[in-house]
Amino acid sequence: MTIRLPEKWTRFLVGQPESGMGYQRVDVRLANNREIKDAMVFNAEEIELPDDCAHSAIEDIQLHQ
Amino acid sequence: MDLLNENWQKELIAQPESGMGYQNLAIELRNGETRHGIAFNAEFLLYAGESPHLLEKISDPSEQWRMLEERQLGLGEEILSLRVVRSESDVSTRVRESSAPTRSSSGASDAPEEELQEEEKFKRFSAYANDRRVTANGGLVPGTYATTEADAKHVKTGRDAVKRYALPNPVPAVHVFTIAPPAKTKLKRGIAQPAYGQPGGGVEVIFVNGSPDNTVTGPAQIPP
Repeated sequence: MTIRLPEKWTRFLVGQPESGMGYQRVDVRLANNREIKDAMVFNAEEIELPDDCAHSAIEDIQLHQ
Repeated sequence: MDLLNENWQKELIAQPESGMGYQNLAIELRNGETRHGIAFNAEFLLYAGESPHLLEKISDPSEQWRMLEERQLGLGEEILSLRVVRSESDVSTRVRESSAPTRSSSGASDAPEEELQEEEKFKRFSAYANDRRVTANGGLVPGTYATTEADAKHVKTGRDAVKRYALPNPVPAVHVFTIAPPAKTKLKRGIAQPAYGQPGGGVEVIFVNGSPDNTVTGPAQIPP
């Protein structure tokens, strides 16, 4: 599912390089300590996460290496 | 090899393809082990190290039953999670050679850095009119992708852009920004590699340090 990122993370991602035209691949750590590797972010504002992550706050985002 | 049930199929269909008709996967098992493999059509899971010939056998229904009875074929009972991985290096050579496309050119991220020798125009195709990489002052932030004006001439629709630049977002990239950076701007140029079920093949350019204020105009609109 696609989730709109809080502005804090959008600002962070705008400061990071893209992975391709219009998107960034990221690793995400959720508040419940679950880690999602290689998630897709579009326009630094929309992230694709598994459906069961909808209600978990994002603790950290890093560009996927 | 596993035959994936409807729930796993739904989960895979919601994730991007790694190439046309297949997905490179990291598979987390109930015993804590993580294995790699390739799912074909979100239905057949071939683990790294397994022979791709199993795919031919399984197409015969009677053979499928026999494989189930002999436990050559599982039903995915041991799978805890399936995650598409981008890197083919995680998948065994045997599987990769047999099923994934070969690459003879490289993307912009692997290209050497260069300085723009003279003024040249570039285009950026976006699914978003409010493209976040374009600054309020009409510049680009560092690490932003675009294409050359010459290559952009091949793109008539937003879907053309998705295909040509192998964009993972299937929403047609109908918003077109024009970038006119000054000489000496640092760039990396390459060819968009096949990915996300799209062929790629277009020129891609990375603005390593972005582009200064007042160098970006648009967006213009193209048909979806």
